[in-house]
Amino acid sequence: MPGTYPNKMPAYHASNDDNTVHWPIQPQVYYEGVNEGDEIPAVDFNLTVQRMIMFVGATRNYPGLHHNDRVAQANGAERMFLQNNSCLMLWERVISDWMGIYGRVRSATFRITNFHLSGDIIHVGGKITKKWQENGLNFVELEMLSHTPRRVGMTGTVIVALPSTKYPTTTPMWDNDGKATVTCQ
Amino acid sequence: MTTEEAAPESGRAMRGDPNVTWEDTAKHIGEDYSGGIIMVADERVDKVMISRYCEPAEIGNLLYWDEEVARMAGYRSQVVPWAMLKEVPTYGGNWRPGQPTRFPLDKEMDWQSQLANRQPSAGGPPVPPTNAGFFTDMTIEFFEPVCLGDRLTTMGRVLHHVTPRETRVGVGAFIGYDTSYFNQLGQLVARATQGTYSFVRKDDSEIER
Repeated sequence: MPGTYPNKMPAYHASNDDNTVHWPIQPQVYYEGVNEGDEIPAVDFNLTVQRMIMFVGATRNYPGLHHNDRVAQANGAERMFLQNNSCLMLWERVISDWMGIYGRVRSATFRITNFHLSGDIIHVGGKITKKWQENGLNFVELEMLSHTPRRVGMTGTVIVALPSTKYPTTTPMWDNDGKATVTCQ
Repeated sequence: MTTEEAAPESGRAMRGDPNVTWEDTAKHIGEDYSGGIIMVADERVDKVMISRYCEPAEIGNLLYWDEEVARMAGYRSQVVPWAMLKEVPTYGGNWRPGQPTRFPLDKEMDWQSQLANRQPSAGGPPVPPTNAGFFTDMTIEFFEPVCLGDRLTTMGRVLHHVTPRETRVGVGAFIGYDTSYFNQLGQLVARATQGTYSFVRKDDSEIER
């Protein structure tokens, strides 16, 4: 119907080149507020086929093993399974949502022990196994575990540098030798 | 391949030198097998790359979503998730103008096209015969944060370890290579050791499931 279609964008939208949406900032974790033995909030991930395809697109990692049941089965898997970096993305979610905007990951070590198959619900959790200060930084070591419905699917540790309550808005930074380049303690 | 349960490539052709042992391979630890190739990422990190990465696992840390929050926390700009660093930028892309199609018409629907290259590689050390292999483990150390607009360079493929071992799926060795990642200012952003298990696969009847 002529004349009923919008032919001009409202001025507010036309001039709004900052399309950033602002969300509330998550609660911050501080070194002094955590203890060895503490568990960080776990997350259950439902690996629907649609989500598997999203993982493939996000990592631009396209071997058929990760999006095509026939290819996966021809290679010994029951059906399509997550690529190793996508398995690590599940840990990224759990850890990054916990450590807040002033936490930083220093290192991550992981080993995959079972396929993360489409249709699985993967339970990912972590526990603080060590807490220490070194080279001007405040560290915790997280022992991470991903459980598939069959058995443990991925194990490893992630070391996180946390801010202190003394410098609550200082993000830990370090040089090539791992020494703090900002005051964190 | 991703786990110990993964089967080898179809055909299970043996590759390697029967006159070489894993001990011989280990003598090459510390040698670089990148061929001196320095891979500069085709893509600078952009907002879409980061948000598409965060969506599947629903990663909500605002450093990855909100430039103002990232600057407030002391970063140059919106931050790249630590787990994303190694995977997303490509070197040569999945296709570029002037290149032949990656999907020839005579290929059947499950055919696998060779797409983006992500690691410099030029051969490897001498190894004994194997007919299977898969990814096993990785260690990544992080240094300078990677932010919006950064362009990463990947260098090195240095043999890090060779550990012979029999597992429930076969007999072979765990092998790891070191690779380093830099930003456009030449600052080290990460160093990764990626491990694989190369082996002679046991007969299916011998594999304990």
